Amino acid sequence: MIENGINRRDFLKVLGWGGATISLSGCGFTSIENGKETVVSYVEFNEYALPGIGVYFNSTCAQCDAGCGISGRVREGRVLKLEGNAVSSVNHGKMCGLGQAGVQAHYNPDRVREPLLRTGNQGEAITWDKALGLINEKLGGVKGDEVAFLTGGVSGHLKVLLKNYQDALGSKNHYVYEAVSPSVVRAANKKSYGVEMPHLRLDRAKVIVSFGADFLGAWVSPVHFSQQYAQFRKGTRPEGRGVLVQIESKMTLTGANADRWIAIRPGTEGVLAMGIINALGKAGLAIPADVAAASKAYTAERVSGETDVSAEQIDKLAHLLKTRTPSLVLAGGAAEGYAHGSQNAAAIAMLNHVLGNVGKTIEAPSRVPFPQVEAAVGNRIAVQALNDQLAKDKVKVLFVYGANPVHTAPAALKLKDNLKKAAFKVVLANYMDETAMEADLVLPLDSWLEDWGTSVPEYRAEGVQLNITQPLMERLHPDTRGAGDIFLSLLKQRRAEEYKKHEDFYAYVRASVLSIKNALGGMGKDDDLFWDETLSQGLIKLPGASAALSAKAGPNISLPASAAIDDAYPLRLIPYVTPNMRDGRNANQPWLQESPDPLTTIVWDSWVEIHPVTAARLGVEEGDIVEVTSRSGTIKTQVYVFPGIHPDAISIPYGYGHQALGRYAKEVGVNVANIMDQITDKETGELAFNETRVKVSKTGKRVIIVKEEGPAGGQQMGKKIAVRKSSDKVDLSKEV
Amino acid sequence: MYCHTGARRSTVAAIPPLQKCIGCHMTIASVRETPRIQKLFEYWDAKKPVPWKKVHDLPDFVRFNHERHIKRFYFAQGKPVKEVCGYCHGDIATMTVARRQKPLTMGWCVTCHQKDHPVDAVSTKTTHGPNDCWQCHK
Repeated sequence: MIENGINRRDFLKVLGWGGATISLSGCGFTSIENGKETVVSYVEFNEYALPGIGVYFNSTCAQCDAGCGISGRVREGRVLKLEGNAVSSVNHGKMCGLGQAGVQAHYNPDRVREPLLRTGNQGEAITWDKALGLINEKLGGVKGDEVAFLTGGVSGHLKVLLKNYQDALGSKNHYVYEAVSPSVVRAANKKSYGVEMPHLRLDRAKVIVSFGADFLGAWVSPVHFSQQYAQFRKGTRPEGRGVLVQIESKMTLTGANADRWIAIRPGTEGVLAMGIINALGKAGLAIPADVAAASKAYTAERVSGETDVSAEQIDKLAHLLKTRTPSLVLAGGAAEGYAHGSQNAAAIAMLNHVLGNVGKTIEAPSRVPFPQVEAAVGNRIAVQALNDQLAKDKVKVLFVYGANPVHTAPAALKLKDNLKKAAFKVVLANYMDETAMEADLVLPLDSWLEDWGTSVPEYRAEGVQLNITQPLMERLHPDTRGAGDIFLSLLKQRRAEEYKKHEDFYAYVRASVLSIKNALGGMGKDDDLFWDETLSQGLIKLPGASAALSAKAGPNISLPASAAIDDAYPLRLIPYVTPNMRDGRNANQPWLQESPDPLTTIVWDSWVEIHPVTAARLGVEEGDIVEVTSRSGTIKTQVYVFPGIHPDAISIPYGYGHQALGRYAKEVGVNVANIMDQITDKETGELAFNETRVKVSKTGKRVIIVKEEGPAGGQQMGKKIAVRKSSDKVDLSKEV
Repeated sequence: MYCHTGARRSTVAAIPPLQKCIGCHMTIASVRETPRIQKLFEYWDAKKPVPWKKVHDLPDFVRFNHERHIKRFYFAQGKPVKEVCGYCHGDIATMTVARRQKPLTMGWCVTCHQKDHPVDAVSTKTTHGPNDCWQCHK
């Protein structure tokens, strides 16, 4: 909107939060803008397109890895608003905030627009031909095992091409990295249920006991689980209205929705699970002999001492689970984020077996009929392994796509330094993020609203779905390209004969899908018709049988004794994956920064949550700037006093504190990865998210926190945005 | 309506693409060499769109639906085009450069909205325009 030189911030400063009508110019008239706006039409326009009338196209959201379907409203050749795709079994027409902010990922002013070649500390814009030629040149004389690929989770036809390119180069080094993946839980699931991610039926459970699984917020597939949760809460379903119990050290969005929230001593989730099994046995539930033997030692007395959960509470939980069946017990990031995380997850899985939930609320996922397009799932060992190889000078050429490890991996890994050892680094990126800043060559990508592709979400919501990504408009910047097209071009350098029949990635995907048309329900249909229908729907539902779930794992649980308090670093750090920021990849979308955190309502900044008792002991108040120091580093941020956290823990949100990624992300908040200790789960080697121990010290500085709740006023990114004035001091009579 | 085709079938009247202007003007010899038409062809040759100054510009918080007004007054009531369009835009046929002729303020719109008028050309039933905030300020 035109503001005619009136600075909104000054204006509001004068009036407090009251407002008078903002007057606009006009010869004598107070509300018409006269010649102030220009309106620009197209030079040539499609005859059938009507200005003002929106057409909807279906595609797939790429803001996180859940793979919800979107339906985008396109007006005059521009995508303006995203809604959910009603046909998608993942989200059934609903959307989360990240999806809504998707247009900001697309129209972001900080998108990379041309291939950039590093010359000293600058990036020089070069042509695509030169860029691709340079890659070919740098690969010459390099052995296959000296080439590495670091990507996020990939699936669909892009994964196929990527794999073929790796084969063409003779490289087996594909590191799939996801910063916030529940990989420990996946490994434990594989042992306990036979599959990494079973199909969960929240809507069939009478009770859900979640050990820190934030399924309404940021865990696995939040939109899908939210819908199941809505069913779960319906009093009219045969199971009656469900009861949710959340057990975690720091309250998540799901925890805030729970009927009972139990603050547990960090790391003792497995102990509590065993204690519940013990209590179930005492309450008369039939428990297999070996499990009973394993849980014998976990008496209510011992468990309550270790976990800070009272014996009465444990009995209540056992009683709840015994009488209301089927139930569902979930192990989330909170439980798995320790050096014994695998044991925690195993104990929780055992609880599910004991309660007889397997087969009722924990089902086998559908099998993907075409394994080549199945999702390659990421974890955090990937970046640790790559880091090791880089440190040993084993990587000469590195390709990075869909990952930003320089920001998300713990600084303790020294990844940034190790990256310098790779001779040639190619980063495919939408924005200059921290990893792209370290690249030798940056290839600009189409946004996911301009690109072609297919994908299969890792979490299969109901049956298997091949999601289609199609452009909702012509590309905004003429020199960006889709990742599929880039890898196809690179493949053509190596295997020209095999791939020359595919003009571009779109042609490749189309031909590939049509070649299995009969298996996809298109038997007897005309090729073009089938393809049009597929694009119109935005997805293809694949036939998929389910394998059965295996029997339970043996009860080889060995949980460590409670760790001694480290006097130097007395508090446990819990990096919190917020529903808005997740791993921080969308931090440059202002709508997400503007969306208040569900628990603290803080915007545009980081914070550290401290329990009131601990805050009193430390002598800090809300807004105090404190230094949070671990063995690996130190960061400074503002205190938020919050009762929803265990007194021995503090929590800082993950994904903030970018040093790059554009104007909306840079220097907003602090990066908690800078102080995370590189401690790993003993069994899987995964980064133990919650193992970092810290101490907190005051700096003497205090700010007013900018948040939705409470009185107005504060500082936003260092600038005062409004004065804090009590309402009896505001005199509007002079202003209006 | 050859140029502002959206008026009768969309929420916005729409500025026609440059191609449409050229479509007629490439054959109108009498004005081909005038300065403004020459400027027009310069834009066309450079394939750049013309940045028109919006004459009838309402603030972003007002959502005015052209189609509904045309449907009511031209199609349903059958009033002549000059009267329908002229009520708000004046006699465009006499203008070389369009200028705003009416206030287009909210008060002015509401005055018309409050007047009763027949539903269509033949009916005796009357109605008037909406007077609830949501219709225009949604």
